[in-house]
Amino acid sequence: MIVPKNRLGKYKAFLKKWNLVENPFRSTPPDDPKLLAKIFYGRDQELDLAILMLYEGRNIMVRGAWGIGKTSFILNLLYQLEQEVAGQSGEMLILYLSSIPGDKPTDFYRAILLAIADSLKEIDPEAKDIVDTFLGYSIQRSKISTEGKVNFLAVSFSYKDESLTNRLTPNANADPYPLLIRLLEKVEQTYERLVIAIDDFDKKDPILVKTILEGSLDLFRNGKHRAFIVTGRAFTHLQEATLKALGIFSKEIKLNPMTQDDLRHIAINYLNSSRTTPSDDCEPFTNDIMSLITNYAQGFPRQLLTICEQVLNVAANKEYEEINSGTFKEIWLEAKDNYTLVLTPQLRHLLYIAQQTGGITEDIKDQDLDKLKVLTFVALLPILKEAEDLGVLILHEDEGGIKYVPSKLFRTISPNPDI
Amino acid sequence: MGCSHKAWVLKGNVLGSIERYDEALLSYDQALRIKPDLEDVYYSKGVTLANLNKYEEAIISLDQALEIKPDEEALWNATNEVFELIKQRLNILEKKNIFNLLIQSYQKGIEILQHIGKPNQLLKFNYQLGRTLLENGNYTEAIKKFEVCEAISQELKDPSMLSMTLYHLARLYHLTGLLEQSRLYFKDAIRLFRRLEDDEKIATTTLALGNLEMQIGRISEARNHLKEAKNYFQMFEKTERLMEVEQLQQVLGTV
Repeated sequence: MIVPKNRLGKYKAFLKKWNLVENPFRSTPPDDPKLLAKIFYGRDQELDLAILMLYEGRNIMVRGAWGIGKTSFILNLLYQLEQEVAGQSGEMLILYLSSIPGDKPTDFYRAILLAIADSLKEIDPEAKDIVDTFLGYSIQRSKISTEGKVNFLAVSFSYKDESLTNRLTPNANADPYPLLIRLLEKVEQTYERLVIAIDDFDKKDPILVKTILEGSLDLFRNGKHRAFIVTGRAFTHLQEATLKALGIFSKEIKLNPMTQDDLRHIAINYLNSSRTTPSDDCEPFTNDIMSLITNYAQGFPRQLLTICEQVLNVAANKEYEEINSGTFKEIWLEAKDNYTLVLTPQLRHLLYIAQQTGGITEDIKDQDLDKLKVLTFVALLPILKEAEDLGVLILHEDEGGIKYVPSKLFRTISPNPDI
Repeated sequence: MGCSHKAWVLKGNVLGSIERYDEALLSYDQALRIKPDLEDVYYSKGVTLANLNKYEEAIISLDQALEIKPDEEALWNATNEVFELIKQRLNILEKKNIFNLLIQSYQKGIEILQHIGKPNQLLKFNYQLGRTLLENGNYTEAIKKFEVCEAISQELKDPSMLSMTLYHLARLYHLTGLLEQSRLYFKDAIRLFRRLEDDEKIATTTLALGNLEMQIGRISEARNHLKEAKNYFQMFEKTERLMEVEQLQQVLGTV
């Protein structure tokens, strides 16, 4: 007879000992705005500024490196806006688009068109017709919330393979821009204010981003109470200068790395989200260890959450009563190994160079490029981006330029990283 | 009994060498009438037509040569050189039409090369097409072609072609307002020119980088780069370039 090992039971019992229902740490923010609002900490000045600007119909660009908390910021901002506007007179529609599919300006317009049509489909027959017959994408509403006269919709898109059935509907070949502008005017007859948030806007090719912005001045500039907020990480000062010349964005909000104290508060908020009784301590982490972890996170919430998630898992599996200076060393080594072992040889090479040099910049030496088997820094950019996406390298930006520094989550790579 | 095609070719070559191009052309046509699949005769005819300033017909003849024998490496090199010569000889009035024809020829050549797989030639043809598009003002299309060149020359580890490709891409990104990208590409082009120890190109690119940095407010970097370019142009007495640097330095002096 096979006797089950009861791993889950042991794990849960340990979490319970720590007053936790589950491991609360996740590297991506929760998509429930109410839960997010409980966990979110800091960025007060940026929120104060952004709420006023969006309410007044001004466009904002939010930028910051991968893992700095752009999505949390924008979702929390929209939630706060919803709460505050609900207490005011006038109706407002808030649309959050988690990503835009496709690689052409028309894809961008079609996605916004579909999101707007979806929000109007109950009250406008043309909008309903567009949603019912739209080809190429399907739309998913991940969240719907209504506070007073404010509707907050979060949507994402996926491709669907379809053939054209109705020639009057916006198909893959037609220019959706005029229809989009017309539908926006309709929205503005129903809602006094409209906010459209587009996350990761600059995931697309820079030429495409520029083409979209240059070709969409009516979309971005017209409408007294229509505001766009976009997030991106690669917007540089220079590109922003070009964008500013177009007069599209009234304000750029740069999200900087957070202080250790802010990160500590975030960790406590996450712990409280899973505690049966809230508390302002870091249990099962001791204060010393939390201080070490917030240092390792280098100001990046995503690094903090990934480290805490891993460390807590390992500690629970090892059945440690506390994560303190006596137990942490072993936990930390195992957590780092778990991450490091799955890296590809190419990423190991990159991490090795980054660890050796203290970080990779555009002034990387030729001999280091040779070790990475490329001739130029620009050839490294795709793999640097991949390393950033995986949290292997962290992008730091200051007046001197950008630097990809190694995450502390990985162990020191040997001089022969292939092995 | 008539002459063999070889005799006509020989006669054409001799007439061409003494610049009797009209007669040489007649001889090549005679040879092609007897044997229509002679790629080298189409090539020679193309060169002769180019010498007669009949560029459209020259390009068509050169295209035919490549279609007949696409696996002949030397023919691709030679054709590329003639295309370049034609571009250099064009006057403003001829430019528009002939450029369009050349663009079509490069594209046709690229299609053949993609099919038969000759990465070195594919790189050269894309590079020349990129340059032609750039000179023709088709910046977006030119960027696409140079991006192909960038990928191939990175793959082939060809620093010479890569350096020039990055230089042109940097210029194009600058022209199209992608300034940060332009800056990084200029820096990498300089990195490669240093490896190749090509002082003149280092200076030219450093000047272009300094100009860009000035525009985007990286003043101290701009000062350093302009100074570096100036030293070179002074040393080699490149008067026009020197004036260009000094003008920019004057503007910088007021910043």
